Amino acid sequence: MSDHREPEDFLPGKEPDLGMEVEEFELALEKQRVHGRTALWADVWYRLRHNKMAMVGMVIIILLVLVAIFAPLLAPQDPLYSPLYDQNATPQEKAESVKQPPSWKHWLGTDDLGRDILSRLIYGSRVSVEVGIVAVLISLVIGLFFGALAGYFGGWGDSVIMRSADIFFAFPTVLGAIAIMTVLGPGLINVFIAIGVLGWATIARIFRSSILSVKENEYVEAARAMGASNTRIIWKHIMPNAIQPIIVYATMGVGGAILAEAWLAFLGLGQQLPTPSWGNMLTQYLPFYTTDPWMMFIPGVAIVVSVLAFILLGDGLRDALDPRLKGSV
Amino acid sequence: MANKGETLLEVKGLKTYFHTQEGVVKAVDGVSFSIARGEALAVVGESGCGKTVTALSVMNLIPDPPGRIEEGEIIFEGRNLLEMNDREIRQVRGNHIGMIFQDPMTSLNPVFTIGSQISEAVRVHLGLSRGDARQRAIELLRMVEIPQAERRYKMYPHEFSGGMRQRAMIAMALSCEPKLLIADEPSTALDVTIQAQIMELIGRLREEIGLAVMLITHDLGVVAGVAETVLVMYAGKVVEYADIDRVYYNSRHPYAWSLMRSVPRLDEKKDRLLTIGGSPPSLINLPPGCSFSPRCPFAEEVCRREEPPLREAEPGHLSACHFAADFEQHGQGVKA
Amino acid sequence: MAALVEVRGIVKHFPVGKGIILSRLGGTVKAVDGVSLDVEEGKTLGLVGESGCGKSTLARLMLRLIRADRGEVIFEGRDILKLKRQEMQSVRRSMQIIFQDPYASLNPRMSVGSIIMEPMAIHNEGSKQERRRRAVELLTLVGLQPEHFTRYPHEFSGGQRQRIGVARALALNPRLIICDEPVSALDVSIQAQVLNLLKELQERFSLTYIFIAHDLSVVRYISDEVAVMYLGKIVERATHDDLYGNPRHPYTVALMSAVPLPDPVKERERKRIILEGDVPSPIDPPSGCRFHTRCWKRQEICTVEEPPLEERAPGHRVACHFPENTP
Repeated sequence: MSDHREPEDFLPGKEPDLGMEVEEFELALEKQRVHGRTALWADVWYRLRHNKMAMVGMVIIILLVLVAIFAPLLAPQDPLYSPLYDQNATPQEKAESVKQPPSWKHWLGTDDLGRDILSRLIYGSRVSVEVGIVAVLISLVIGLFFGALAGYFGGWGDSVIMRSADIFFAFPTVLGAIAIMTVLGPGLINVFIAIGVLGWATIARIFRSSILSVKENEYVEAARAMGASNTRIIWKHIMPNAIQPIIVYATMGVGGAILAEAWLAFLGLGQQLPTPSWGNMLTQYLPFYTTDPWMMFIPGVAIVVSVLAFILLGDGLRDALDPRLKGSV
Repeated sequence: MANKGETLLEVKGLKTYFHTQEGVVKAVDGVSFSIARGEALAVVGESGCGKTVTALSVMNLIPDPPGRIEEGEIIFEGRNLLEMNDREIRQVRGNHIGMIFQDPMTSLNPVFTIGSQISEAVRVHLGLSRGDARQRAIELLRMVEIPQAERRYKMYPHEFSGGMRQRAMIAMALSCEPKLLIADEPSTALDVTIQAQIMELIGRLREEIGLAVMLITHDLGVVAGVAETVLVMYAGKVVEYADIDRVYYNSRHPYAWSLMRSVPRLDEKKDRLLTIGGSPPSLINLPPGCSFSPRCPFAEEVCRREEPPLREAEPGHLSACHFAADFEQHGQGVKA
Repeated sequence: MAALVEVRGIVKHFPVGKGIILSRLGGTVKAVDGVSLDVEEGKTLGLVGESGCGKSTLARLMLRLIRADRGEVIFEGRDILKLKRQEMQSVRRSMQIIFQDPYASLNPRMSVGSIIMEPMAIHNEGSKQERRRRAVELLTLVGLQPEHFTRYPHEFSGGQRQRIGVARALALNPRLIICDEPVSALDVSIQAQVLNLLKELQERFSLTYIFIAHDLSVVRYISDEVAVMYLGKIVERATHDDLYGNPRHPYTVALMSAVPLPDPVKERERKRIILEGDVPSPIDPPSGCRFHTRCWKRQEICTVEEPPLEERAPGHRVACHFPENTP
């Protein structure tokens, strides 16, 4: 860079030489500010785009979300429609409708009640996406709040918060969720709460340690020397720099929540039948796994692929956000 | 170039490039030099000038990918290291060339005692028995002036101070009686009084066991106390190469010349330091012509157009500057 | 001229060991152990010592970034350690700090402009427009360019980042700037740029500096007075010429002798004093004179009695029973 310039004769109060008109300069500043801010994230996006696996994950996630949103348009049939209960259907149609292998009419076949599996799968994605997003949001709100409190202020509050988090670590997520669900009763809303509440501890712990390391940076000390308030230090200096591991964890956490919902639904605690979710589809098709294993296979693959997609994206984000790669050579 | 003895190491036209996402980084771009037995050569330059990569290339320790030695010869005792297989190179690296780094903590394994790490090195390279290796390790610790060597033998790296760790590293590097010690900023992380101890130790070892030293540093003071020959690097290339007095008192390159005048000195009161404007260039995007020309106070038209070759400015004094031959006059003229 | 800042008998001991119970038992690191000094307005005091001597802790005590156990810091006539938060806020306008690591001292998520404007924003100085104008002014002042306003720290080299740090420190027109090893992380050719800049700014705005460094050569270039610290105490304090021409404390003598000169002929002729061993731990500093374990002049008394910091010549204070170069 040939940016170097010796300090010229220049005193405070004197008009700085901008090399252009003042208005022009203001405009240029505004433009560059937008550009500058995006440039920081453009950097991350650049690295992410060059990570093939992360891009695969991202495409799958986008498709999943689109499918969930446009489910009524995409589903070839009403997911609840069963010819068995259709008074217009002939007895022969009824007999031939159940457990059909994939065909042009039913791309993924039909289930034991003659319902279109593809339609149920498409509608089931809504549950997964909802659980993933809502549960992780709940975890984030609780986890970030307590993590920030513990990390920034330390002391007794830190000990109390972190020991409570340890209690949550003491039992496996699924067991904990089952316990909570038993108290709250089955149902989708309670699944959000159970998974969300259980997830806070990890987020709090990650955020706390991230804050602890960011806090040691000299720029935080610099802000303090200037007389910045705690609120300012937290919001301007610590948060933006401590949030990166949380972005990674939350992304992967969505996958985890989807898996946990499937577990709970499989145990009959999640979304109640007949409304389809991938988890309760698994339960529903379990009895046929010896005779017609493909039925169970379909929701199973859907779960695995979406969970994997979130893990791949999270992994890619971790590499892309790594500040060690940042800066000049 | 002090030609006092038989050549121990000769590097010819070394090019080490790193292939990164942003482009090819020419970290070392055509570097040649030689070290005679018992000679002390200092490689001087700022961060990113390629001095460490040169040392790692000699040791064949360039991480590949992204790095690769593209061209050149590294001849150690008459054999080209770049033509050897892995086993032979390990042999040379362990038995004939030792290396110490700036941060000894990263090169010592924290879960083993200092003693076991040194005797391990001794056993691998000299094939001694366990007991003999232990004896030798304690001898080495004494040699690098670690007090209470027997007791220290059983201690872990974290129980050592920074200076002690560097001594232990030197002991480990010496474990197989190398002929050449490559020291990469050995005292930069240490306090001044400890730095003096370490440099004193290196000087003593040179006298006692006739060790040749390749000292890599940015500190012109440390160089002055140790080296006989100086190689100044800038942006991956050698810009000046001569014996130390010539470089320090009669420099023929504006970079080395201004660098000498820009450091504050303990023995002189200065009102203003000479400054070199700007920063070292990015190795991906080098300026045309002479790499130093954008920062050079004496640069002229030709410097921005043509890259000056490294050639003799006077007998035994190489410089890569268009005005090397009459640098004094040229410099005086511009200054006045 | 009157002293702008005066430190009297400041003490800071850090408890060793974590937790509330253990800290009572584990002993303390005596980081700063009764330091007094003063700096005249418009002058530079160089504070020299090896790592762990307490020089950086002293800087943070003076800025009240950490609480002192005992002692006073008189700035503009008031003991700032006793001020209320609100009163302290106005003092912070006049004292600033420049840090060692230009990579860690700038928030990577903030643009250069907002970094420089931050002190003004905190102290509600001027309108947004005025702050911007001032930031551009400061950029030019430290040798950067107006268009750097919107860039981010990672786009700059170490030397340029340090200039940004200097601009930030100047934003509120402070009277005192504490420079905590501001050039030791920079490349040789960049150090001179930053040192010259600091000197020019001092002349132009009659700033007062406390310049902390481990490098005696750098301190020689920038300082009017020099204080040498060893294990939490000042062992010698003199004017620049006095200290370098006539060092009296054996530690200062050894420290100067250890600094390598960029001059091969002088280096060859030099007789070095090589100190033995390492700096002792500040948790359990040696009895008597803290330097006696490494001193070649030690006598019986040095191990028992701590020498006070006494004036041995006009303006030249030494804490040694047997100082060098004494007539």
